[in-house]
Amino acid sequence: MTKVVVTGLGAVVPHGDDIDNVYERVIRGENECGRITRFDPTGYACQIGSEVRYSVEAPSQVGPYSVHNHALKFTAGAADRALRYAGLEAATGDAMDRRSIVLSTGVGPANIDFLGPIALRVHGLDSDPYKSDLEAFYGQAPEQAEAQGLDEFHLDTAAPLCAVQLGAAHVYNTASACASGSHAVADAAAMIARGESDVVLAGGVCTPVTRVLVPGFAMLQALSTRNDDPAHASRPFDSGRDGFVMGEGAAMLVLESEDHAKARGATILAEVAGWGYSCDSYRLTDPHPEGVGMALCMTRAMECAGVGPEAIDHVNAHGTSTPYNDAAETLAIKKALGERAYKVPVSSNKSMFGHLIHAAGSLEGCLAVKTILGGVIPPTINYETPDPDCDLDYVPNDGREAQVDTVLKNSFGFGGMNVSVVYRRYTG
Amino acid sequence: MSASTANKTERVVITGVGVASPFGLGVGPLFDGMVAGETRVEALGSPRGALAPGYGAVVSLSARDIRGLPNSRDMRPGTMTRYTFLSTLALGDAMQDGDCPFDDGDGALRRGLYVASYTNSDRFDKYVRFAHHVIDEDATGNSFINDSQVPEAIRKFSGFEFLKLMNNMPAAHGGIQGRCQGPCNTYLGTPSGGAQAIGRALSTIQDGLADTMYAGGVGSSVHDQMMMVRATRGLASSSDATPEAAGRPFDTAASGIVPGEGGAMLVLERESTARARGARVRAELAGYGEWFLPPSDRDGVSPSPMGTVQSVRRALAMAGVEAADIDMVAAHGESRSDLDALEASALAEVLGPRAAEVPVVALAAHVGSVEAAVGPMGAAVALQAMETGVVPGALNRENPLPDYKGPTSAAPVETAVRTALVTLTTREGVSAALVLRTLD
Repeated sequence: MTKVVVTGLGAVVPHGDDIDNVYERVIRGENECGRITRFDPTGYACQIGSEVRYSVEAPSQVGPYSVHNHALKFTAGAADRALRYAGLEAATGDAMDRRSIVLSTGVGPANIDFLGPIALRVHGLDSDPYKSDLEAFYGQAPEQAEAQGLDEFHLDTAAPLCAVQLGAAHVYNTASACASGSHAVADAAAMIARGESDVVLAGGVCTPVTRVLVPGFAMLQALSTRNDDPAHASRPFDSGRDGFVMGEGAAMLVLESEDHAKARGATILAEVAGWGYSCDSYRLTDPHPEGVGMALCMTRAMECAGVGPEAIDHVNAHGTSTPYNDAAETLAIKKALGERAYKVPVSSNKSMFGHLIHAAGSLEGCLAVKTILGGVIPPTINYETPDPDCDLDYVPNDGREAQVDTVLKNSFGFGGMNVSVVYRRYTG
Repeated sequence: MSASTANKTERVVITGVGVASPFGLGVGPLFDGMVAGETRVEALGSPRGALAPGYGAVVSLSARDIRGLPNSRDMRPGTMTRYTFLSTLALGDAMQDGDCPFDDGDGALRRGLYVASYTNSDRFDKYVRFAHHVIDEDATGNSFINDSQVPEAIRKFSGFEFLKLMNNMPAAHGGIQGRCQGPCNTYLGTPSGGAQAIGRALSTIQDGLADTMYAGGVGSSVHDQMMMVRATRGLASSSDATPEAAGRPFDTAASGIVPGEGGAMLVLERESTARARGARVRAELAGYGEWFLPPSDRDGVSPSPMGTVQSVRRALAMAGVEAADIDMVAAHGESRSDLDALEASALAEVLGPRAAEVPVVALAAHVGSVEAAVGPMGAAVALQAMETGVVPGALNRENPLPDYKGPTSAAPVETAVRTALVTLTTREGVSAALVLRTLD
């Protein structure tokens, strides 16, 4: 099987747009969860988010695609940085056939601002909005700016946009909820391993910090409501955890076949040694209580990599900070790693930047690679009170120096979709 | 993937087909309606009739229709969007057609599901009402979103609704319905997504990650948001057209996209798995190819037909067949002249002189634009043609585009179909192709 290697990393995330610096900040345990600023969340059940609070440098136009909203800026910015990291230019001609995109783009900005003025034209302010006349509404054609807002519900140009940046002839746009970012990496690795592509740009983008989705997911009781202390809201594996923090951003990895990377003299950062998929086939809302599907994908990823539990030096956990997930993941790690589970440092990067949903797995994948290179395992911050159901070594609060050659990265999605990826030190 | 289980040489076969279309449940009603030259495009009622073009093809199946399908006890129609509902119907129909097991044993570990959908959002009306509730005016009469109104307005949604609307829900429901503990994923975006899902499922079986994959797509463009987007961007068909004549693939009088909806799924299996359980093998999924050639501008189309040509050549190469072997084409034919001209040019290039004789079916004339379901539904029609020796005619193609060189008769054609080509050419620039072949 063709060896799959990582040659580029790129991110536009709450901690910054330079992935090396993001890693440095993360291993110092710096938090980016705070009170939401994209809108005034006063009165919301959840008022906490992890936002990109700096001006993002990204091209305003990529081929035929206008980079007109922050989701597309994150996408174009992260892709641009990943390609520069890898030292890749856009391919042309026949070379495009050997390049692919796998991008996860589940949630667009879902910006409802543009709907309000149309509703206002039709009904004014006084009519009961829940008896509004949809036929009259539909009879009003949106004006130009409003029409653009319609597109913002979807991110159907994000993956093609990346394809133009990479010069790729193959584009896949996928979604498996919170597992999506790792799903994209796994699919990309499989495409290279089977000889279908030489270079794949893989990752995800997500912009869920909106005035619709934050209160919506709070109604699902999925989000933390520790509004008076947002810096300590994301606390995976801690007994006081009460939900996750919505995060936004984009993160991507450049994967290549070893031969292709060597031939062009690229710096090889790490190897994607294995990947495993599973579906709980259980419930839409909850993970399997015994972590069956989660354990299955970890086992499959290790089998794919040709390693056993003894080879795993670190687990980069899904670790959302929800009561159900963290307990089920702990159980699943024990099932998959056996006694080794108690000796392996397990940490959740989400403790510092919340849950970037479709971009979570790829951002945490970037950090797994950096952990192999940097020799410091990121901590799980806000870990104060142990939970009897979560009894592993979660690298509490401080980064830890360690020789890490192999990282098992977990990503688990709503609906029971699970993916694990094994990243390994590249030794030639 | 483990090298010991990967087997790229063993055939992947199709052992079941499921369809939910405006003609009803199953590929039979759809195929029979197409052979009879019927269309299900008709005027829409209120309120969607107020959206251009005012007509479309709607699936009239209800939650009751799920009840007779395999493993229906685990399915909860009340927890589904329109997209998930249509996907569930198609998967259930495919499982029934393929007499597929849905046990929790070792078989479940080796089953997976890929489904494609442009979106999973079907409650635009709720967003409209939400926006109306939170809109306010300042002292100068300028409108703004009043955030203080949001906590009250959001209560008009249920929490579960946000889970329902997640894009991966068709696959999540399908994973439960089909008892799939292998790879499950949702492909988003263009109408080629359904064919891409099938193509990736083929790879997944060949790579040894699964023995059985359910794969297909779902779409609903009779959706308020989709209709509004398309009307605003000038992509919808003309309101002046009569509904039954509106879907005109490859015809000079085509005026744009006709709203439609449906779902279609295939059961793909490693041949040895299918034989071991005594499954009825309908055909081989012999080839897959895709290619991206970006459009010249946001609402334009690719500058040349080479994207589709490349996708077809790759699918033929994988199948090891020549263009001369193709007996029929199930084309995209979206009923939009610029896009159809590209696809027609590609078919003319690939088929050469045979373009004049190879029948080309296009769903849009019968069921409108079914988005990501169009490839899988085209494959389902092709499989039916293989079994019956009849290919539906070219409905509403009286005045073909100059680039279109194929047959134009609306009458069905009796012919042996051993090799069928499915092609997708999309506004987004992603083309895809499948090759299906009968087994000797």
